[in-house]
Amino acid sequence: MTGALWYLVAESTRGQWRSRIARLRSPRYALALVLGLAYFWFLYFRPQPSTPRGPHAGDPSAGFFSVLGTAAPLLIVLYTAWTWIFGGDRTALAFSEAEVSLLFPAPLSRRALIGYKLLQAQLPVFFTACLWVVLMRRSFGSMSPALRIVGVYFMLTTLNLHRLAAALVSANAREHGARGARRTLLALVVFALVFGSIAWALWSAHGAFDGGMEDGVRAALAALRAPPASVAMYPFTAIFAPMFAATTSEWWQAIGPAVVLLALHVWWVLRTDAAFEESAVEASVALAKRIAARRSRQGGATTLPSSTGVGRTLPLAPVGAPAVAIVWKNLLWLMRSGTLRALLIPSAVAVVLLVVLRGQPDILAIMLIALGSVTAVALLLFGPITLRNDLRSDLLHLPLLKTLPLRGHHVVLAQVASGAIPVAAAQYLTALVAVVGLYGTPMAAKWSNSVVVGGVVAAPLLLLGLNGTTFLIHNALALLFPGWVKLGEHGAGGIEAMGQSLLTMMVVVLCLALAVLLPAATSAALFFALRGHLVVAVAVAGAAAGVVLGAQCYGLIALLGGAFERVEPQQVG
Amino acid sequence: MIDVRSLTKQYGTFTAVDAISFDVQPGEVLGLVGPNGAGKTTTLRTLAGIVAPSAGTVQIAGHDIQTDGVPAKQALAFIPDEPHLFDYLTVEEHLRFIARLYGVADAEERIGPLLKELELLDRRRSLPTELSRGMKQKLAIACGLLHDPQALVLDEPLTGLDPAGMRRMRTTIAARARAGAAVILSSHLLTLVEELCTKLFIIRHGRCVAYGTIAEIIAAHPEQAGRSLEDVFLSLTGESEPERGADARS
Repeated sequence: MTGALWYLVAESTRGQWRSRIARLRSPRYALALVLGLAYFWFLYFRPQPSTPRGPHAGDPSAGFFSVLGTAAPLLIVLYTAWTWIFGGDRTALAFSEAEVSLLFPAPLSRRALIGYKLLQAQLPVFFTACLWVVLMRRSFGSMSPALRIVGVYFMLTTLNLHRLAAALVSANAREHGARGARRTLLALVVFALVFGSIAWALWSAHGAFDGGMEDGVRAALAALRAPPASVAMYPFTAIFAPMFAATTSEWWQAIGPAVVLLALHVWWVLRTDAAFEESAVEASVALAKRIAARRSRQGGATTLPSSTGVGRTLPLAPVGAPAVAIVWKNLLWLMRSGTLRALLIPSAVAVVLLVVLRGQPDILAIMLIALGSVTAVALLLFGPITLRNDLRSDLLHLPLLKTLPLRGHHVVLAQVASGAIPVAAAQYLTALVAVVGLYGTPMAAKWSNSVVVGGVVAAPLLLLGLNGTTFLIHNALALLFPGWVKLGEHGAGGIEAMGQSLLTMMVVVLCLALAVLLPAATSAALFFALRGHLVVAVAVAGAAAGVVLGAQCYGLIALLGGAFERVEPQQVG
Repeated sequence: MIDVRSLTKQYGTFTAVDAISFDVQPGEVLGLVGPNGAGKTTTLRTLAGIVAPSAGTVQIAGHDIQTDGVPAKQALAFIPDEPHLFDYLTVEEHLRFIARLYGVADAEERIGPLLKELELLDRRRSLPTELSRGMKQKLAIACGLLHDPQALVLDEPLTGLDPAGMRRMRTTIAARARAGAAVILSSHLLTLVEELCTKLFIIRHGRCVAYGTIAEIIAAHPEQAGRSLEDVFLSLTGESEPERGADARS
């Protein structure tokens, strides 16, 4: 790599840090940083009374840590298979508009450009590694944090390289037709073998589940740690081994294969015979459009829609509450981005389960309960991360929004409602299908009808309150700290942005935990007072929790409305 | 209709706009001109309520844009130099969106003729990503005109338009003014300013250099008599100094 590219990376990094530090001159950012650091210290570094250490203390072969050591490579198998099956993550190749126009015509080799791209990602990956070690320091045992950071860093950077390599091979397949496609096919065959051996291992252990869940999990883990699954998964296990090493000597044994894997990935990426510039330019076009749109406050879509996908529209009367127009606009985004279909998937899966498993009520009940619970929690926590059709996208249109004849709190309310209502509806629909499906099963017979009826009545308000709160937290973060939140339809992506995503999730979970305190107390008090009439108690307690959550949200929306009226385009960036 | 008093906008220690005052009555077209970085866009953004003034007031149709923003914005249309459009709304949907926000009850009757006037009728189902730069600008203009604003603020409105589009836009601005709208037009095209504007506000380093009708400005600067608007502008904003220096050296 040339000195100019080193200079570019160094100066860009310095510039970014300078602007981050300058941002701390704002009391709001400075206070948030102090509170955040205090929270971190309280959670991870405060002195704690020493706990007696058992024979397995700090031994990662025991308990949850052991399960994680086997489950994590499985997740990575799924992640990498996904990137190969769906053509690689092309954002891994994306250069900025300035990079395309300045670096591509420059007399630089393809390797130099890839090297630059890799170098650029190293600092965020290193930050993410440090954050992981801090977050998991209690689970990681007593080994040196520095060695642990190196282990996590090797794992993340190898995955990042793999993502880039998959994108290059996928581009190569498009460029070179059959010859390129053979390489993709080879990767798919390898993954088929890996999945086959994993499936064989799990199948061989399935009988142990008859003796209970714990026995079944133990047998499945043992089967995964034995050949052929252990052999097929070796590369995936090897990149995790330094991260999960229990002692320094184990770490030194594990780091060798991890270094070899990293070196192989570097070699692979640098020698991939891809029409790199074309692929990178193509991938960069979407990014460039997003940047151009951002600059002109037009929007943040990476994949810009075309009218061929417009399809149906929604009616909108020309008179009525003006803020409804914002909800209408955001619902059209939901329809046209395919997100509405994705929201309906859990309900559709529930219906399919009802049909397929109608003869096996026990399994049906377990599957429906699992589906309903996972959908409710996943959509509550991750729904707002996926559905960004609110201020997180529209702050890029701030000059337009501020010229509209709307009060600030009406804008915020409409934006929050745009995400909260569809997610709450999807959760309720799934729950309703599950309740209908469970009716008459032996498991449901154990439950009180009063609880079920009360729950069905209270759920709409409760779900609206909960989702309104989570969407409000995300919108508040974007509005109050636009410098710390990745604005746009897609937000921060890729392994290098994982650290930022983790921090955001921690803040959201903390705020949500604080927000449910008063509603939970109110709900508990009402339930206690009305416990003589169970159906009424469940319905009133649940609905009251939703109403208190809604009232809290409205109060915060009124405050955020003022913040919206004060925010100026240069603060959003 | 548009009343600006001692308007000041500061970014930290930098003063972008420094205590400027002017007013635009119904039927008048004010040309806001100045060199790059003079403070034109900041002034227009403050008028539109996008940024808050550090000091001074802006009144639109008798309503303060900061303290009584909704009715002030209801009477106003701001057409920026870069069109602000939503990627997922078609041309027609943009107009329906604006109609609801401004409560345009007869939107259905207005949308068709407006699209026809701006030659967007056959693109009514297109998304912004499928429109050329000029078409996007026409759509932004259509959004601004749909609710028949009493005050019209335009920042480089002809950017990206073809010659026919430019002529049509000039006609539209003049027609809106004749219909009683107060118009502020910011442009580097001095011929456009000369053709349309009833008075001028020349700004430099955020301060007023000259304000009034062309005759009033000439009266205040008699040395400019007989010169073209371009020469007057360059002279008053100090932009012609290097040329003069070069002339002197030669």
